[in-house]
Amino acid sequence: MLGLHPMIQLLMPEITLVLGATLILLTGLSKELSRRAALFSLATIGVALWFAFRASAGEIDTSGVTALHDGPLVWFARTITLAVGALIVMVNRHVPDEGERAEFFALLMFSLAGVSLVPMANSLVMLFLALELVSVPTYILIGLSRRDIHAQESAGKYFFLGAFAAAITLYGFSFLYGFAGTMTLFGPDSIAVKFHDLGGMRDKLALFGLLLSIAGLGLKVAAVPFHFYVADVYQGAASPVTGLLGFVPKFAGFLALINILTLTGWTFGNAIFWLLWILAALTMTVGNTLALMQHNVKRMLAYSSVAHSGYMLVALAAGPKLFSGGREPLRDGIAALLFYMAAYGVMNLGCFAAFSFFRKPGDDDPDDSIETLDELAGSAREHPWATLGLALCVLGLMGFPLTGGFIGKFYIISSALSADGAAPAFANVSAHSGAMLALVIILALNAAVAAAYYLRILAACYLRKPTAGVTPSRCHALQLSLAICAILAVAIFIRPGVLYSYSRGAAQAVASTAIAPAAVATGDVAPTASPAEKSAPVMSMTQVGE
Amino acid sequence: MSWLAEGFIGQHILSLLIFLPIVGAGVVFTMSGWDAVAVRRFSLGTAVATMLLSVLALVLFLDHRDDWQWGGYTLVEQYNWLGAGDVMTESIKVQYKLGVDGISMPLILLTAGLTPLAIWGSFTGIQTRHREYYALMLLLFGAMLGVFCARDLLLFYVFFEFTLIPLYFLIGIWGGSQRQKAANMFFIYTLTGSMLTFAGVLYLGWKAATVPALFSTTGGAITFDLDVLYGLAVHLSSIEQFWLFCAFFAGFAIKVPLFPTHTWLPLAHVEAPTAGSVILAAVLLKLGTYGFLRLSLPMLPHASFELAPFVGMLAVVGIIYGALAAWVQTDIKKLVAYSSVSHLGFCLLGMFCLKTAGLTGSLLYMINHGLSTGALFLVVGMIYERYHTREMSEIGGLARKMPIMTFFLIVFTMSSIGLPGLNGFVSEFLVLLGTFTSADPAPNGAGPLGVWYAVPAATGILLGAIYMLHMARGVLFGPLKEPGHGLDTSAGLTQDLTPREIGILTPIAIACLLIGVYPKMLTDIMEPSLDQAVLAHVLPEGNAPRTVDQAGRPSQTVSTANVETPLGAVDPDGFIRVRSMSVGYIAPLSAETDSHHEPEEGRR
Repeated sequence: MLGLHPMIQLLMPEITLVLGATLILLTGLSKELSRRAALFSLATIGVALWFAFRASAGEIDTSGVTALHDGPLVWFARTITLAVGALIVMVNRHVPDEGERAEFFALLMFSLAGVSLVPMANSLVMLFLALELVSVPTYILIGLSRRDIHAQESAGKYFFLGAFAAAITLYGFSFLYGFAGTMTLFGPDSIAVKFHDLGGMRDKLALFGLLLSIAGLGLKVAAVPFHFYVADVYQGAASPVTGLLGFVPKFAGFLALINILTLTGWTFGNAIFWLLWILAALTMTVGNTLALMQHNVKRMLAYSSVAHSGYMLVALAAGPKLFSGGREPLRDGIAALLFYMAAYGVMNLGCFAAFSFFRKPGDDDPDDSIETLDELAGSAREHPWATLGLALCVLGLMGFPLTGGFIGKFYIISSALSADGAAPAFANVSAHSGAMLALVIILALNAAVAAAYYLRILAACYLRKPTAGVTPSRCHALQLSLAICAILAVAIFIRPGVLYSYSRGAAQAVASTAIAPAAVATGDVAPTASPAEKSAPVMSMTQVGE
Repeated sequence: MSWLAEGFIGQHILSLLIFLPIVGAGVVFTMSGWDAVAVRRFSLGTAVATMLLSVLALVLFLDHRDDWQWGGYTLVEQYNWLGAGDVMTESIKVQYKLGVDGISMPLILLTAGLTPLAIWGSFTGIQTRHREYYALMLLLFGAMLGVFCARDLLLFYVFFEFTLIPLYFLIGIWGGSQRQKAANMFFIYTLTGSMLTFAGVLYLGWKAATVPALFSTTGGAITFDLDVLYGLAVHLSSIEQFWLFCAFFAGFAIKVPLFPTHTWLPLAHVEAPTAGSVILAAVLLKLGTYGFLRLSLPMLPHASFELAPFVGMLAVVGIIYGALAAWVQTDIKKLVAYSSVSHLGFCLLGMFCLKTAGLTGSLLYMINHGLSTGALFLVVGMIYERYHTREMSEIGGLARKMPIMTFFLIVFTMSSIGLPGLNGFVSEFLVLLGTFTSADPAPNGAGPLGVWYAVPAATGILLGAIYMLHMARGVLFGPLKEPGHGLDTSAGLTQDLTPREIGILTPIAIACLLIGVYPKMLTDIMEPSLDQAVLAHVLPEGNAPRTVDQAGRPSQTVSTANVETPLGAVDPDGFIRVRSMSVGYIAPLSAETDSHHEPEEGRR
């Protein structure tokens, strides 16, 4: 393609995003052009998507590029980010003041570029920078989203805690560097190799580094006990921006967690396994319990997003399917996680799109979406279609049949149930299969608890009489995005295979990147990747390095 | 009939049955221009068309007798759902697979027969938001039929769960004063149980993929095909069966509802609109019992047999507790609701006595309870529409003013009590017969229950007569009592039943009488399937010495597979002949393939 350096070719989608963002920033000088910033953003995303498809066709010769990864995981992350990003742009169309549109959407583009850079990073520094590229714009986006003092408060809160988390992550990374003596994640002479050769899971320094990194990323994905900011930040930001917060940082956080855990070759050992187990159990339970106590829908969905992180942590604890011995297809926590993340992102965004569609009555300020259940009461009478969209998305978050959320839970639970105690990831974890079973039961009970508060939203919409009534938003982009989210929520249920095969490809790339844990007792089992997986068009990270 | 069976309708009869009401629901919901009359007519038309389709399905079903007489099922439709044409094709096989046998067919007929009547019965009761109401009714109709038709466990679960949503809204929007609490309680109780069931379902599917002996059928793919899962039983250890039984029990026992989990039921029944109560009692509670019959018993035979005394005990407690609670109610609807708790105790008792008579009685009980309790709710609703009260202290002596209503109420009361000649008697008799003789090893092995379950349960019948007659006497006879505000005729009702209401109740009354006089027409359909598809899986499991290898896995359980049943076990009553034929039991596929068991497959 154009004879450019392969590294530039690999980065084309992200370069497009950043260039586009810069141009959009420039349009901010003209009031006329600035009003159309959302349209420019969509165009930028369109071009980036085109490059993304080119890149995932596997035409690029990546030999000699060691600083970056390429492969199905990157393609998955990029495509999903761009697709959901387009929806986010549409939902946010009316949020910023006319004079600030250019800055707002430019920052959004930067943040999206950050997400798709996270899985590409092949060194600790790049990983950290990508994560910061995701986070820093979101702080400003929250502040820009409303004139309200609460938005400033939530931006400040998010900034300080985000910086705190970044510091913890960085501190963890420094221990990993201290342990391995290199910044490179995978490939020859990398941290992954050191983990393998030196038995990283037995090294206190490496373990401490992992622990701190996971803790810092836990704040990104809003895992308990790093969830305290969530409710205030979600409540303070304008609803469309809150929809963004439920997807962008969380997706980046989980991608980074996958990257970090792949360093261990998915050989957890007791410490990391139980850490993830406790994180998952706590996150689900605390998130749902706190959500149950809320009356403000944004706070409710904030805590529910904590709970959803917990479900995804269950999948993370199940780990990827490393060996293709037999055909046990659902033994793949990473595929389940990626699938769930995409489905959750869409459905969560749909909910917030609906909230911003229903504005407080008689108010011209476009930021004033409804916030409490009372304001939502009886919306089904006056706006049956928008309420149906909201209902489908809420049912999806509940994990109810006929929506993608059901299939997502199906994959997560299956992966957790079938995560095999004999797999090397758990070879030295005591009482593993019982622990995973317990986690599944906790998940099932949590899903029932979650239904209780999601039902309150449905009950408010359908069962109660309207109190003050709502003013529907006249923004067509918002209406269209709500419709798309609702349709996608159902479409994922009807044809889950399309998304699943994509996420499964990505998960296989993760598995083939992990280095065979020869150090553990099951040294005589099959090699890391099956021949089938190797011959698949997987540009694995080790292959890149060779 | 071959032209019919081979035509499009014949080939897709079950799908049409499920999706006709669902499509109708979509039409009703979108037609915002229609007035109430048009909406009612269209919905009733759709429901009646569905009912006619179910009759057609029955004709085809009887035509294919050979398919289901030996434990199979017929009218099969099968498509891939999850994983066609992508990475997952070889690794996961979730199917859209439908089929009916002698267990599901009567329940489909019950559903398809009662729902149109419930819809017809809502014409005067529902005065607001017509389109949404009838759309939800039709949606519920389709989902219920889907549960009974599904032959794939995950599909079953999807329909099973989906029934919650329409009923949630039906109760929550058109219910009584405490409707929101009732709707929430109903939804959360049932969902809590069924989430655990979901985990059990997935475990079974994963297990099917990992048992080497099943590899020839599953190809190592995760599958939820019921046929495969029935064969899985012999590969499950006792502990696995125990936990899986608990997982299924959580979902189904709450749905039934079995004694300690019944607390959501009275509230939901009282608050629901009439049609909602009818559907809830007649069909939705049966989803729980059907789940036990279709899934727990044949798939987890060992645990079912071992835990049957426990379930039987809860059932007996439920029978007596429900009856006593019904006795002290002053609200008629609540009385009928508690009577459901008592009746469904009988249903489960008959099921877990593991005798042909008991199982047949249990399945027949599902139908009969649906008819009589559904009809009672309809009559109570009709009284309520006229007087806006259900308190027995406020109404009385209605026989003088409403003779036709009195006739129907007496018929259904008698049916519910179990008067010989009406339907309730047959099923009660069979259930008790089965329970009494449960411990008897003849004809094909001893069941887990016995006399000590039957005796207290029989007192439930006595109590049933007391509370039902108490109710009938209070409402129908004695001095005339009417509430102060008098009769409400605003919806076009007359003092006594209108022709429409008579038209609703008459078919149910006729069905009650027909089943009471000639139950054989139903038991002939039910028994082969119950014998072959359920009992043959469970009874040998409980009677054969269970040999277990080191891994805690049964190696050869079904050795005494071919059990001869002596002919001519004619019961003393004369007109019910407990069907008893030579049971040509076909051992599950897996029992043959697993003769060489693999010690390797245990978890390390």
